[in-house]
Amino acid sequence: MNDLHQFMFTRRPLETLLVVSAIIFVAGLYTIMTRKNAVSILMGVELVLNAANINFVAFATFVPRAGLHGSVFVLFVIVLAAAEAAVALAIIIGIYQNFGRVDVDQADVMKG
Amino acid sequence: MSSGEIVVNLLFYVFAIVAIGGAVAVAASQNIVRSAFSLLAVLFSAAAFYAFMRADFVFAAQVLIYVGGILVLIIFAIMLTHRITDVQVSNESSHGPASMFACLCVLFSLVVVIATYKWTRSERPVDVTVPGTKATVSLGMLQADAQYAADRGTGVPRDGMLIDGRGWLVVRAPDLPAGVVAARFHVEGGTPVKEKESATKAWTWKTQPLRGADHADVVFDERRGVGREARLELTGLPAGRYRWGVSLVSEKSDVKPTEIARFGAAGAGEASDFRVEAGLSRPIGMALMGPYLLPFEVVSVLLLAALIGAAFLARKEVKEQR
Repeated sequence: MNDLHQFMFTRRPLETLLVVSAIIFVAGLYTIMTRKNAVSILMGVELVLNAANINFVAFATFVPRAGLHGSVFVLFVIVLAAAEAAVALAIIIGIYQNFGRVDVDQADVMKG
Repeated sequence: MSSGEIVVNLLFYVFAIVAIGGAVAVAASQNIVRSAFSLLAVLFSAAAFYAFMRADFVFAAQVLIYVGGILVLIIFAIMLTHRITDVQVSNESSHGPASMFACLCVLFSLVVVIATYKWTRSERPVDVTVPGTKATVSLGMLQADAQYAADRGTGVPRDGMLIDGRGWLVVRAPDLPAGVVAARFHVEGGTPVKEKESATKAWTWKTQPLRGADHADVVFDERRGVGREARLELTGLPAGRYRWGVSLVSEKSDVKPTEIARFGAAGAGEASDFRVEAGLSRPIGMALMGPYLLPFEVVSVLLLAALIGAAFLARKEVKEQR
């Protein structure tokens, strides 16, 4: 029973949250590395940003004297993610209008 | 383990499984629309984690901006760039095994670091000298932004913040003077009163009921590796400023309790030891209008730039067709 407590969220909240966010981060990394579709790559970026956000709030909540800085920084990250998604999707739609596809290995006009 | 703790653990693991499953589905699904809806599950689970951490404002921002804004934008982009017919197999991947190996290496190193590093707890013990022995007193809390009054030589945590009025006071001692059986906790709450004559704020302190009485006696328990510990859970304190005190109670009723931490020990009688916030929204608003004002304004300019840029990129070229 004592060993089970090691993995309880209420007993070790910081570690459990960090492990979950690490798995989300790695899934996002895998998505970015393997996908050809530009929208899928954007989804991978969102996964990575979310994993970072969970870490920020977890550290702000469970580390002594961390204060509010983590929680405030998460708000900036969310705003930047929104701006990034808007611009990236506009670019993706531009690529679609020019090439008829959104695969990132197709748009190689600027390749030297 | 109490029933509430079991429910919290169960709910957390349900959301953790949904988050991990959703993330894996985003990475592995052959159908891009299915990927997008798995992303929805991950974003909602992340919002649930913020709720578990009592970060209510971040929770609301996550649901509004991520789920309501970014995800809808992504689904719109999928619908605009794919015909309904080729949505079925629309999500090819390449370099699968090599990427999988690299990602598993990253995950392994992350988990090893997380599991082996000794993360500090949110209890912040402060050494307080008790006559005849040495005990530590700490105010445990979430979102601790406290500065130690130890800096001023008084040894009591000062100006901490309790979100939701929940936290705990702990007295820990490796050894205690003979005859000491319990710790007596006092908590006082104060409300600012405006004085007409003086510009300084005066405080009226009111004893807070602890377990229905004006003070609470907690008997010391034996804890492995710690020594003896007396812990008082604080719940349901209304928002405001508070100060607290602890004394050691002897088993003989004629012995006066030994004071180890005093009300307003930070110095002036008006200073508070900690404050209770009803939620995270007010502190975050104060932070955004205070130390984070410049980044806040810069981000608003950046949002405007992104808006103009996105509209410019996505507009239709009409002059070439003449």
